[in-house]
Amino acid sequence: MLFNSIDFAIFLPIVFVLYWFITNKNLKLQNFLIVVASYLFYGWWDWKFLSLILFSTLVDYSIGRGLLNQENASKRKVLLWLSIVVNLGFLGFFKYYNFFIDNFTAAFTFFGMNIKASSLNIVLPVGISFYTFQTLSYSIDVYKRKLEPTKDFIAFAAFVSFFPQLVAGPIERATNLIPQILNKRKFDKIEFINGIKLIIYGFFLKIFIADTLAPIVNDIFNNYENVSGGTLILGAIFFSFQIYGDFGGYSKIARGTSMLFGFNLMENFNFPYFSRNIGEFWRRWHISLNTWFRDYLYIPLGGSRKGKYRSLLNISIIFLVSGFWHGANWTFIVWGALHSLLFIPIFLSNNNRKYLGPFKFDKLNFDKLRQLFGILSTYILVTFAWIFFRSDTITDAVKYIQKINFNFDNYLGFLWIILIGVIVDILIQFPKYNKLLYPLMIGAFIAAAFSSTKSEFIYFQF
Amino acid sequence: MKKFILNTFLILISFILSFELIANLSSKDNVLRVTTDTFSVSTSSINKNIKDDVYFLGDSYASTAYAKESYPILFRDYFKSRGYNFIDLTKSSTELVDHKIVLDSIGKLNPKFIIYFYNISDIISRTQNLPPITQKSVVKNDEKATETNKIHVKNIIKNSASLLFFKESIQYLSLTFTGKFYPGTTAYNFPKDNLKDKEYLKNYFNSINAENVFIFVNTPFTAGGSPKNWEQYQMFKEFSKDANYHLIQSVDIINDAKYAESFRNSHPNQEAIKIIASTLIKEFDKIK
Repeated sequence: MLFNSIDFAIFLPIVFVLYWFITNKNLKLQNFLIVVASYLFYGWWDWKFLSLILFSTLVDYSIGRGLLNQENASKRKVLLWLSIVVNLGFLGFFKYYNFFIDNFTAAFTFFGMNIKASSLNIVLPVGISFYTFQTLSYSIDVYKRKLEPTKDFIAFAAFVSFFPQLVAGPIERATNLIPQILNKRKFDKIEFINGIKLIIYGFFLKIFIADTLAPIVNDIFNNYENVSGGTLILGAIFFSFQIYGDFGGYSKIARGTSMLFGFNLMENFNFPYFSRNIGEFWRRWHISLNTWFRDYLYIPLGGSRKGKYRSLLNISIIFLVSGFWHGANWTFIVWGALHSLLFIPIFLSNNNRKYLGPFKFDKLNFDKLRQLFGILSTYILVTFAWIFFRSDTITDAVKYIQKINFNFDNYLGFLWIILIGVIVDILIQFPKYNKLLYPLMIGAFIAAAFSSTKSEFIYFQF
Repeated sequence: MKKFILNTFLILISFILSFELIANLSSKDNVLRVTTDTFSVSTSSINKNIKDDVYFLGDSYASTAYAKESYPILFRDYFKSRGYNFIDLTKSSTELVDHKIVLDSIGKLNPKFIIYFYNISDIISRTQNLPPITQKSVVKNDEKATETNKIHVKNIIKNSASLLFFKESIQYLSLTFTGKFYPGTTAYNFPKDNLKDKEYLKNYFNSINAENVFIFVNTPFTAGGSPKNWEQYQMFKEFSKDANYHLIQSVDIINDAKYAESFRNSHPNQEAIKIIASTLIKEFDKIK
């Protein structure tokens, strides 16, 4: 089920009423409703893949229970590896099987050995990368004794399948979500209003920004050989806002929807294009994934504790893995590699944690100008890297870049959409403008909904 | 109450401005998605091995360029697998008068297949003399330009995307509740005008010359199953009885408005295209 669909517009109020007015007196029943609603939400796309979620839930629940009663270190390790193998096994098969087969075959052919290995017609289950990482984090946290495994199977099933964030995150930590599921929720009017506001903001980003730009981005990237060099610059800019509107919008709708049900999910996007260097960008973009990699990959690899060279290696690894997480294509790996190259100089000069607070829109002085220059240069670098992310192949991306020049002849008008998006992103940080802003955003996204073609969220494919 | 009125006003203003902005951007900048050369290039390069040729003609209901798997793509794959040379002559914004010129040209060569998508709105723009495409377009543009100079305000209203949206919403409601287009609109006359020109259409379809002629009559997909109740439906049924061509009506295959691109866009959506294409391919399969 898509957030931007009639189905969801019917589904959400029904679940809301059942949740707060029918099952609210019994926590177990309320949690059971979450599981049923979540399975319905997911099954709307393809009910057959519900078995994968159920299996993953059963495996990690059992491993969690097993770890609770197990004191033997090696047996505990076996249980942890079982969880890793099962979860990553599913992910590997559905997402990367064809990629590895094709690349192995190509590599053997390159060395003159012909091997027969055919790729399979595999359908990628929506959201598998998200819920797999979520369940993995549970097993790892239980293994590390950071978390007491839950006895309540329904609560655990609700944690794995919680519908607002099931298919595209934020990738929640068990330490944050499970305690909320296990405790009784109270309806809070302020939380409810804040949730609605987030949903409005999310729909504005998704429908007004992303969906309006989507057909233009597709046109430009699909016909990059036949358009002017200036149009290619616009194509990259439009894509940078399309993906932000799409994924940032989804995350906001997910968080807003959760708030309607009394849950607080972690923030996933925090005005990433106002970042003043790449280090800050990665603390503001897809926060739940990046902190996941930090906690479950970078730190276990030694983080920055084992010397400079090891740190650089670890940084490169997490960026490459993060790129590969997005899809089984070399373009994503190159995108990750590019970001590691951009991040390493910031890291070496100890500037990766230079900007921890948000950029403040107040008095303009020399330092502010320097920060604004930082924002602009970071945006340009990030947008350059997006070309690899969006292109079908590395060759396409290279050709795209080679063709870029400053001959603008088309699509300039769409910069208005971006300008509006940027203005909204600035004004929303000032509560005094919110009264005006939210009705304006509602009008804008309703108009866009009737103007542009509805599209799926980009991150569903990851 | 005051707050409610203010918010409603803001939503409305934002809606209208956003609607006009997006419509304006889409119409001016939507360049890459429109193919302009297919029609003229293809007609000028009629194949020599005409016996192996399959010609596909029609307007935007046939070209369906907005869809990932359009009719030309699906039909090309099919005919290629049967060893035929598939020639796509579909082009959006073309009408019966345009199609007639091309059909007359290729008909003389008696090709293996002609697949013609007739749009029921086509007959409204028919003229007695069947003027050539270029001449007709020039006349229309001139008229529009004069009108723009004379009645500026009227033209703004006419071109307003939000007013068009309002009209389309009324059309949608009318179709949903009455099964007919809203009285007074051009679309309201579709069934009537097709009947009025019954003889012309009959002769026109009969004049299409090929070993196998397939005519597919498209009614607006937003109308769902309603066209089955229109008199013109029976008329086309009658046509196909003793004709030397195969005639299929879209409403016989798709009769639910959910298969339209949107409630504002009467073209078939991707799902409808696939269903129709597979039904037609089954018909083509019967031809040896």
